[in-house]
Amino acid sequence: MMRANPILSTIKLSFDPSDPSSPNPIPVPIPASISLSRLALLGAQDLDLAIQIFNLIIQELGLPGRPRLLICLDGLAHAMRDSLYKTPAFKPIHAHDLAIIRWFMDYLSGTSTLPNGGMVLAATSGCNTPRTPALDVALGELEEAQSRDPLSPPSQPAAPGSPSPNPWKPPNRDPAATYDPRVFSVLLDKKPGPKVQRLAGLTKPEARGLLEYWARSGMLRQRVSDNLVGEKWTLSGGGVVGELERATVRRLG
Amino acid sequence: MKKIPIKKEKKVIVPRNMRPKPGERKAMRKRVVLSNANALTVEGMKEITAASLADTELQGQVLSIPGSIVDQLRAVDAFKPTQSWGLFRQPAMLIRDDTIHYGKLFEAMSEDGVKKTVRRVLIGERGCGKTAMLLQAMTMAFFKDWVVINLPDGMFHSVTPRPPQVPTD
Repeated sequence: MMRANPILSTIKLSFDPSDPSSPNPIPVPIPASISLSRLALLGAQDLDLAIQIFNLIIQELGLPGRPRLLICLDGLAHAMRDSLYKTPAFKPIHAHDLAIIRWFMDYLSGTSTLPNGGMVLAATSGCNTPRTPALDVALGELEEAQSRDPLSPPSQPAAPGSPSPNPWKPPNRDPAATYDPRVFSVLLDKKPGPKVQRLAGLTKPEARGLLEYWARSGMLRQRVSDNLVGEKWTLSGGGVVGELERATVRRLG
Repeated sequence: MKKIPIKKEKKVIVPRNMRPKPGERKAMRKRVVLSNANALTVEGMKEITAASLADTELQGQVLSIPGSIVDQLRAVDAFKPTQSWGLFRQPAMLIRDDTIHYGKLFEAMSEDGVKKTVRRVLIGERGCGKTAMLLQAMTMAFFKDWVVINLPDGMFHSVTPRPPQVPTD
């Protein structure tokens, strides 16, 4: 956080943290006008204080006049089920009980707000994903509710020429199945919930631009013609970027 | 019968001081290579500026990411080892229509006095660009001087409860 965000070095703490009457006392002596990036460094070096310092930094960033926050999470399915940890009674601990995931889910559901504005983005993963039926159902319901709302973000419709119906259709809620209620409480309970944005394949002009870049980098040895663009676009299932890579630059031949 | 002397092959023992140190194999596995000296330099490739990510004229073009932003993205673990950054000379990204949508959103949200919160979940097939979209959003946030916190791997963060990405110098 410290290395990635140089703007943190320009923000100073607003109060004296060693004062016991302040809202978030830290047991270690810290100079009064320390910058947030030095505070983050302190937290990195001391695991015991790390979570307190983290909470302090987040609180500081919520004060007026501070920069906005972008929070991203990749691999959402892992965070929406039981983690691998167990309690002393050997019951599994849900991921939502873990500090950082809880912190993120509060922002995603809208329970915690970003006082200066900002963005909370979560992405699912296609590979390396455990089975999370509750997440699939919740996202499906959100997407369906959104399709009726004209103000939703532009989820791409199927590109012209791609096969229909969409083979990836989220399942409806099965009355006989048991779902994880905590997933629903994060995504569905609070209205308005997070918006769902479906990313589809590239259009042919975009695919052409990418193929031309690969050819100019020397990674693609063929002439980029309309034929080639059409062929690779089709082979990649309608311009899915990962498949486009596999059909062209990641081949050994 | 005369016995033919057969030499037993000596077992090759790797001396202890040649084994990789703890953590070295993991670092090798997780390293992200962002540059390939064997790739050609693309002539005339533009660099991304704060305004270019919302520019519809640039849709379909590939623009390179400036060095300082690459350092920041590397520090938040935005690049993944399974992606193909290491095939090309320098990290670059394609401007697609979702990029322009987010570019315009970031511009609107970064104006003075606007305190909007946007919460989104990105879904799609395998390989459609969800993680890349997160990276593009982070790039835009860095240009606009936002503070970025990235949890790059849900599995890691649901297994190891610790504050995110606070790297030591």
